[in-house]
Amino acid sequence: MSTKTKKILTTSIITAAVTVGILGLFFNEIRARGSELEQQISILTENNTKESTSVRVKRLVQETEQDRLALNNNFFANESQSISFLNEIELLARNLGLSLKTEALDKVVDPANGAERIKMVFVFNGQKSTVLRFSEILEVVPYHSSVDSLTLRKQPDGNWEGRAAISITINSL
Amino acid sequence: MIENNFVKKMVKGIRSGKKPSLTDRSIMHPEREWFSSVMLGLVLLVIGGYWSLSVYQQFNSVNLEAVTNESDSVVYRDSLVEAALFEINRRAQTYESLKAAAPFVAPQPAVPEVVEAEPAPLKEESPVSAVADDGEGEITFE
Repeated sequence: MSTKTKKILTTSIITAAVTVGILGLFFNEIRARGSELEQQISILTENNTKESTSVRVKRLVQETEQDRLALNNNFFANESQSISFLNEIELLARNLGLSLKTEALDKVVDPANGAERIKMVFVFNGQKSTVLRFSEILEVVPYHSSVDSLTLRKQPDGNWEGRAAISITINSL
Repeated sequence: MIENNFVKKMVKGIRSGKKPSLTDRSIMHPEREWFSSVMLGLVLLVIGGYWSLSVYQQFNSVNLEAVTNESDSVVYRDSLVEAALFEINRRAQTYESLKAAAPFVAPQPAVPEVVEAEPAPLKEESPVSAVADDGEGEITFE
């Protein structure tokens, strides 16, 4: 092998090595930049999703304000609201010509869902038609309520006595 | 470095149609090395170009608005709310109509009543027997 050939061989090897090194460096750099770009795209996508979700929630809150207010008014705001409700029921019974007695007023917790409820037991006495009508009114009081029990009994004097237990849910939100 | 004479010899051989001998025992073969190097370079160039182009297209075609997927994390059961509001309105209307239909009885002033009478003997009669008298004595809903 002549000296010239050796020089050519050495030069070729060095050139090839440098070229492969530079290409490898470029390859590695491109991969690193690509990975970084993917991460940034992922973050941007997540941010866009959060932003669109936030906008939708805000819009939903604004659009449903009236509905939520109507639903909220269907519950007792607190325990003291039961007093005004009792006054309204007593006034209604008096207007109907019934004698009304509030036998019990307790705060109970529904074991099924943990909701707090005001349980009231009314005993009312009067004419049959009036007692029936008052019972119907108790069934549809404009609150989230349920009639737990209702007993109607004829009295010896011809009047009827009703005993109704109703529960109204307190807003716990 | 390929010498000019060798290149001329190669071109002459190609033009004359002569095929090189099959057995070439020389270790250093500039023509062979040159050819293989150029081919290897071309292959690498094509592969690298294809890879570069595919990577470029991959990241160039990314549309952030397109990849933004709609999240279903916001749950609002509007049908349930509508049903609840319908029921609330129905109950409120029934309540108001029953109240309006109820006869108003003016409250009587409370008059203290003192009655002196002997208490009547207790009658051992169950509500069930009262029902038997006229058929409508007690109604219970639980």
